[in-house]
Amino acid sequence: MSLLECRNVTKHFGGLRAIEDLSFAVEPGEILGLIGPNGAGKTTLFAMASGFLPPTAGEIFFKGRRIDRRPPPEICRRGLVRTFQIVRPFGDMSVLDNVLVGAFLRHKDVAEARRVALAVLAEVGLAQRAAQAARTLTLSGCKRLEVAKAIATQPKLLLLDEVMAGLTKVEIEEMMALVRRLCQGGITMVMIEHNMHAVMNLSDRVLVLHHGRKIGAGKPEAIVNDPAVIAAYLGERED
Amino acid sequence: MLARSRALTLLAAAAIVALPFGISNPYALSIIILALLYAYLALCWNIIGGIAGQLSLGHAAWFGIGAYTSTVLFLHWGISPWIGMLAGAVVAAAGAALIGTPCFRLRGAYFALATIAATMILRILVENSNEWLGGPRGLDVKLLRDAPLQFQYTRKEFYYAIVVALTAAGLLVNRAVMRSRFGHYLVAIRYDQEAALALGVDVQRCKVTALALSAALTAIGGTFYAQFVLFINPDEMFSISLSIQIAVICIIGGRGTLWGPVLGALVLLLVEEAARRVTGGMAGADMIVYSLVLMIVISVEPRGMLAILDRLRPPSRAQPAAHGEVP
Amino acid sequence: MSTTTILLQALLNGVASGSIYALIALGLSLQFGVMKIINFAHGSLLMIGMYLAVWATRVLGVHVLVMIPIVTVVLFVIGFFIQRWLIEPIYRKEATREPLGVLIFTTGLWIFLDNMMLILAGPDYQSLSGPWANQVVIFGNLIFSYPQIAAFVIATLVSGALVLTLRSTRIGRIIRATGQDREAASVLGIDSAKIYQLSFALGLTPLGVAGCLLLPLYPVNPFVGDVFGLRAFVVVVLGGMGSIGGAFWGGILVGIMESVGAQLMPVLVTEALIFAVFLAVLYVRPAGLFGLEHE
Repeated sequence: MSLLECRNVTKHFGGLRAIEDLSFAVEPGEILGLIGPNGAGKTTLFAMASGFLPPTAGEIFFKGRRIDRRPPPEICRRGLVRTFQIVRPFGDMSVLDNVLVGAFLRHKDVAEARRVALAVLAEVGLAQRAAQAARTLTLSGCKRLEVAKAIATQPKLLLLDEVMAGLTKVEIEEMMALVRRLCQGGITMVMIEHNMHAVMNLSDRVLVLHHGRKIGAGKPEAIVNDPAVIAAYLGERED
Repeated sequence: MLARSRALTLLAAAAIVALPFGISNPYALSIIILALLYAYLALCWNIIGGIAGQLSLGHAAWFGIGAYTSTVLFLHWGISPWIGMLAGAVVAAAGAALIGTPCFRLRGAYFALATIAATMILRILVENSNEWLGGPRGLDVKLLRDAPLQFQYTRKEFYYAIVVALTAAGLLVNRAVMRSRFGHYLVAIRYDQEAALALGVDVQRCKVTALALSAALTAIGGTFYAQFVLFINPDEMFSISLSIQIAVICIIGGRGTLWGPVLGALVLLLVEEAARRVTGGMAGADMIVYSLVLMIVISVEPRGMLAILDRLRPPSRAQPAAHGEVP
Repeated sequence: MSTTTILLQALLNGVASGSIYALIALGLSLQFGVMKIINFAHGSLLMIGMYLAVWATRVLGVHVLVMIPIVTVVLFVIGFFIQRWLIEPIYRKEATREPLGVLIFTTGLWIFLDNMMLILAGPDYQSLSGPWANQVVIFGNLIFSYPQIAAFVIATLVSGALVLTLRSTRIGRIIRATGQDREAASVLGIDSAKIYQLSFALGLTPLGVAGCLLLPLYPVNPFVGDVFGLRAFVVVVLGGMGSIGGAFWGGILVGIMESVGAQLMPVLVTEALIFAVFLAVLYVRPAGLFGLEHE
């Protein structure tokens, strides 16, 4: 059974057609790259999957059960969590406390949740910054914090929204290594990315959106050579 | 280090206990009692307004509900105000759940407006009531002189002891909340409600719970006040100005912190006394200084005076994460 | 007099007072629509305008309607000052997503202004003296005072002018664009700080007009702003936060509810009813009865 399945999902904002009749599935254990020019509807898709927006039509299934229109906290509890494209740390809270909020989902006891949070921080490489205020982190730190908060909820499916955006080459390699580790640890991932290097190297499969429609799906090597995909990106800056 | 803070705590406790004996002027003791009551009310407000960051400008509603519930139960059914106090807390908590559930769907400013409207409605309803609730004239609490079991005594030290206990309780509740999972959720909601939702926090339920807790505790303060002044009326109990004062004290001192509300009450006390002395009791003088302090504090350091004091202190070792106060 | 006549009179009285409420609420709606701030000192600034008008008519002997442009300009300047020097610095410091600092600041300003006037002018009510305020016009069974007519006519004209300015002029479009998307506006070269200053100041100008129109109808005291300020919030919510046109109709509606309600039930119950409607609208349709705000 697919972990996540979208059937004929459509999203209109008044006259704007953000997603049009989209169907696809995510299999457990894989990394699915989600690419497409800006405005293709990728973040909108994440918002619908995580409960922040209701689809205009269509259904979304997670672990076989319908999740569209369910409230975000319930979807998170079921094991689907998202990160935000523009990072949203809890400003003056310490880095540890930020992650703690995520850890509290599965661990009610404060001491135990703290242990889990510290382990997560070690995993993403922020352990030495645990006591720092979240807003003092660099962009790379913020991005890793965003991921840390999400994985502290111990999800089955993680939706990463442009987690490499704005990072240096070295930081991108570090983030890619983290993503691989997380996948090996059993977390399935869907990644919105503009960085083709990351997409090619990490994704098991790639889904291409353009104007809210699927214009390509398959292995990375196939997608890169697909004429429809190339046409869509003509004139678009590849990161 | 630990021995020193323990010694300081004992010293402070001793000072607090000895205070009433050192003051010969009963008026002065009354002022202190009221200041401590404000500190307690600000601590109650802190749970929803400070930690959770939801600007409630209608806390007088809970205060009034507490005062009226215990007084009505006492006057009409002879129930001791101690029990009435608990009843008032329950009624307030229920009211908070009722009002909070729809109102919390609104954004911050809308919510503040809704709390003001709710208080106004309560006031109007009570003002329009018959002798049962006393109408606009209000209710007198039957004078029993020395009756500690009925929450009354002639000596002010009785009330002093109770309000000190209340303030201590307020501090303990705040600290317990801040250290708990619930408290961390509230702070997350304060910073970024949507991000909290994304991490599985049931934002609506947390807010309503925080409001209910805050309302119940505030109502207890209302009962205390009713028994202290022995007279309640809708104008004073459900006044916007009281709601604002409670919020302002907490904000000036430092909302979301443990000692901020107490500091705020202290500042208010000093401001009122100073204004009284300088202007000879001119009406409105204390409110002017007080609103000036608010505007200055919020412009200079939105986090309140506690943060200002922190900045002045020499830099110390970094605090371990999530210990004690939550920023 | 028949019941119909009484109710009709009440209805029209309500329209007259409602048009003033509309005017007061218009500015609030503008400020919220552009800057998303809620100005709790709005009522107090109205009160200041009223005192200015009272003083001028008493000391200088001018007719209250003549004071309209003067009070308007004074409030505009005050508004500019407040936004530029007091509110803006706080706006920029906000760390949380829900900026409460400005809200709290305007609360402080509200208390400050009220008590400042208490000390300067004393607690007593002051009203406009003079024959003009008492002259009436009679249409069949209905009676209208000059101030009521002036209020309705001028308030409607000014509201219309404001709405038209915002919809059709270039500066109006710039203001609305900045309100919708600050970042996009700055990309187009619009200095959003200046627009905010203009909007806040512009938001106070209807208060100048409203204050002068109100004075013949209501006496002023330092706390009169609380009543009207609160009304204005109810109107803005009913009409839809950010919708200027909605604020106008909301004002008329509240005026009518108040006036007709007073004929049918005790005044206090009407008050409670208005607040209850307010809460209901906040809950059921936060966009307001006529609102267009997208969340």
